[in-house]
Amino acid sequence: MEHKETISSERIRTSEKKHSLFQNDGIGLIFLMLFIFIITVMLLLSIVIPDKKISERENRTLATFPKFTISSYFSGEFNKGIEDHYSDTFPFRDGFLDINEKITKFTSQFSSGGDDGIVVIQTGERDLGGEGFGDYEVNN
Amino acid sequence: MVFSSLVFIYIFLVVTLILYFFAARSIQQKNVVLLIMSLFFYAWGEPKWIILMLISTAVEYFGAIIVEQYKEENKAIAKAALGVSVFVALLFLFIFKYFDFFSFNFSQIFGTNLRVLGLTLPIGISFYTFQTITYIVDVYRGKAEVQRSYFRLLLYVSMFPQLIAGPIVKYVDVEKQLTNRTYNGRKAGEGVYRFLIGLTKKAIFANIAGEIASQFLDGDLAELSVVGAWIGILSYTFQIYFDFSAYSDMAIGLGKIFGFDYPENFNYPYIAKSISDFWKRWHISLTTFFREYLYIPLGGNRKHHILNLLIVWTFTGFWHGASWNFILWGLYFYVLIVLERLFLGNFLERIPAVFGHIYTLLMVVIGWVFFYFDDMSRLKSFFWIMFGINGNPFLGVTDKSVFVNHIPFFILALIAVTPVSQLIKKYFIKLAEKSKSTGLICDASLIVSAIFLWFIDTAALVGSTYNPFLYFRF
Repeated sequence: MEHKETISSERIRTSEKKHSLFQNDGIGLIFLMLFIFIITVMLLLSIVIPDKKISERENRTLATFPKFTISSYFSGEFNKGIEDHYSDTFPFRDGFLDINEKITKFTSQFSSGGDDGIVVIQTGERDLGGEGFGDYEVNN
Repeated sequence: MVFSSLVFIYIFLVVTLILYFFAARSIQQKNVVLLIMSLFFYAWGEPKWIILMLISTAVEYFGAIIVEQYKEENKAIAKAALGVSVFVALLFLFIFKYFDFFSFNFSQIFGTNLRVLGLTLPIGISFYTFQTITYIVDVYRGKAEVQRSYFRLLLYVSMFPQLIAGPIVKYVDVEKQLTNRTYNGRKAGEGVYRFLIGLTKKAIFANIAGEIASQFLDGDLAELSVVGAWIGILSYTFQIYFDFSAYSDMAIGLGKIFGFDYPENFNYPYIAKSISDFWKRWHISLTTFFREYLYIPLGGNRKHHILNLLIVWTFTGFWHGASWNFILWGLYFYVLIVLERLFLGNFLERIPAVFGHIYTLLMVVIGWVFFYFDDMSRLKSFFWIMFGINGNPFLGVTDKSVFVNHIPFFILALIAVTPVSQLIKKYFIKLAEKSKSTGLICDASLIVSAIFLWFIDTAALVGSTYNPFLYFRF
């Protein structure tokens, strides 16, 4: 009985190995550690790099760290404030915004300018954001 | 906190992973880390009603102990304990999710003025309520052993990867892993990759599809064209799949990183060849739950099975939200599934498979209309527009340009909803196993592609806050 069990568990192990994306545990582990390393570095950078107050690119003031009060905590406003502040002051934010614009251009502006202006109205909001919508956001 | 947010990945996950892998040594310590971080995760989005989850878990915890105590010697007591515990769990769900719906409709019909509670729905309550039910029912059925540690049961209920949006993990599926799970690098590596795949689906695919859908579906329906209606609902078809399956991917991936094996929740639903097949591929953990804990106890196929199906599908619809459109949505699938059981299924098997796929996809897409519009009058007008009944123009001025602009997206999305990636994966693994050098190249390319995904996902997440009021403008 015992013998049988070891065989079947052995078989399971080898079949698991066969279907695995990574060839061995070592590389899987390296990959995990690399992931942890990258996100940790980003967190550390966000702490070390001084926060910008204003985004010239969007022409608006960036979200500041929220004030903690009991009521703002329970209403969820405090946590929302942290999320806004964190993404507004994320390391290399402008660089990531550039990349995001390229992604948007590729996926959503296949024929930019093709249909006399309509194209821009429909999908180009992100580009317009520079001046026009900056105020819009602050007011909101 | 949602998985696709910078705070989740770059603060919460960093802290959790470091504590889990570098601070905690034993499995007990790792469980403590997971439990504390899970409670923190839940409290972040639900500071008030976290108490409800703690109480709900306590009820099932004590209920199960009584069930275990009496199930041999006095079945009546065990049954009563089971009944009361399940009733309490469902009562919480009812009060928070359905009370206002009933009191509102009751008042409408009978002209009374019943109180409306106006409670906000606690995050994830629909999911964790069902999870606790699987626990106590399976203890009663003798499938699961009773859990003597409240905190371990709470860990099962509150595990942050699957807490707020599924999959609905049955207790028996993870029972052993709560105390004993093998850690292995291959599994953890796959987990990270799976998480990144899910993140890409959400941050890029679902969000773009959502933007397109919203342009057509959220505007003034009087100005919507027939073609626009179809582009809109097809985009929503993409969005809901990418959004929902992305969460499951991220949940399963995170689970793997911590050594848990969660069940798969989606299996390429849009390639289904019938509606019954679709429901074996869509939100699998929910259909499994309803089958095992409602349909079969009702009598399954053995007695009055048309009625049993009606009950199950009404509940399936209603589970998605306390609103008439979800009930309609459930009943719509009930009708289709009954038709398939009666004769349509046989018929579909005799004709070429392609017709089955077209029929299924068409029915599913029409189904999403019920799902999307919770306003009945909008729902009705949208249907009229789709089928050209109320005289809206066939083609709108901007339809073509929106479609053409998104062609690369639609092509990528079409590929992503089919199992092409599975074929690539199979071929990839074959190649990797060929020799040592190809294996090394494959591993390296895997890591490079992961970094690429990480990079564009982060850009998309940063970009999504660039203009946070996108939906306000349409």
